[in-house]
Amino acid sequence: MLVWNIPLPYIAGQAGWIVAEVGRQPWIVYGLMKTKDAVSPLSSLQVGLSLPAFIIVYGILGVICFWLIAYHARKGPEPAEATLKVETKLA
Amino acid sequence: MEMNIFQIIWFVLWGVLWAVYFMLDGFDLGAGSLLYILGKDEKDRRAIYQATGPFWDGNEVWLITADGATFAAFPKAYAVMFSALYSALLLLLFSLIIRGVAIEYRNKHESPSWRSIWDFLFFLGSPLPALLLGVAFANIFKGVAIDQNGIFQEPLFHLLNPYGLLGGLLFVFCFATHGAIWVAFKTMDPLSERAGNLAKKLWVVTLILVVLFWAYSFAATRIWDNYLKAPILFVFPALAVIAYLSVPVFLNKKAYFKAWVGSALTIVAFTAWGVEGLFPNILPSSIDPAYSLTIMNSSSSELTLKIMTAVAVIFVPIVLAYTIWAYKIFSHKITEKDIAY
Repeated sequence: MLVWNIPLPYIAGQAGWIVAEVGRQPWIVYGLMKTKDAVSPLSSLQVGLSLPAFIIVYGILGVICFWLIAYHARKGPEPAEATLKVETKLA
Repeated sequence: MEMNIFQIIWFVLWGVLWAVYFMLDGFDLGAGSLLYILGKDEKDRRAIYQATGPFWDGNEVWLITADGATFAAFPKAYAVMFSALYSALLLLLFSLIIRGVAIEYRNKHESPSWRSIWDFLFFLGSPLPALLLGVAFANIFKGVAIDQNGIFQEPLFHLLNPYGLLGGLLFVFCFATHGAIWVAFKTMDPLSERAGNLAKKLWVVTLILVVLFWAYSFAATRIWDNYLKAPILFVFPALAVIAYLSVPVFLNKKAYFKAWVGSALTIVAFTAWGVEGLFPNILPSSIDPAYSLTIMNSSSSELTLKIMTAVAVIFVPIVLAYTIWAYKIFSHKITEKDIAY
């Protein structure tokens, strides 16, 4: 039952950020500067390539990270004797 | 426009931050570039990872600080620089991300194919930042085509001009030499000896590239102008030369730490040469010198700079202290025992 709660903080965090970033529009600096005035002089090609690149790189890294965590969760902790051996090595 | 002392202080600090960054991250980027050349088997490769492991993250922090200082002290230059060099800087960002992940994920799964994928990405992500930083800085020295509004006027690939590419190559080989010396310092024989011998060869290539770059800088940039105006400044390139000539002397004696210090001093002096040559510009314009971004026209207000100076005076010594502490703790050679675990 508790396992199903694990995604909740992530969802809550993302939801909060969406509220903040959508809610601030049209201001980038509230009351002082509009978002459209803060845009950098970049070509649409640069933005058109870099935005999907960001999404793809972070997406792939996210999937790998999730898989890695699930792999280690399924594998379980190391048996007690292995940990003991490590402790005596360090001593 | 009048120059105030804080603008000069922060210009110098900006240079210092870049110099320390190149001196530190240079060796772990360089060691990564040599992963396959020096790391003949799994044991060797693990040793190389361990040689840079405790340091790479803290080293990269200096990059963030240098960028942060640019943003906070010279925001206009930051805005124009990061738009003009957008593609190069994003590529730099992605390669640093992938390299960092490769280091962290490599040992999280026992399969050899998992490790070889991350090894390859680590190897790819090591010379690429060096190349990109070299290209970026060479173009900063040369001047970028910014007009009076700071809008970059040229197609992207103009950054890959011969002078830029020479700068990129120089950084790659300079860091590779620096990294090889570090690996020689941190590991046991036979890896250590192999690294030391490779360092000697790489040193020769770097020397040729530095000479070429300095010569080309006469034609392509206005950097040497400041030196001809105030010859006392030749102390920077002179220091770089002396430090660099000391490196093979120490390498032949197998005094690897001293060789590394020589290499580090060279990098710092070389950066000082470049930054001093830029003064008072931060981002010269190749269209018209009047459009250049200088410390006068692109800095924050004096109040901002004063506050930043107060903060820096407190925190930079703290950062230096814990950095030195971390290096001291991990100054021992990597032994079989370390790799097995």
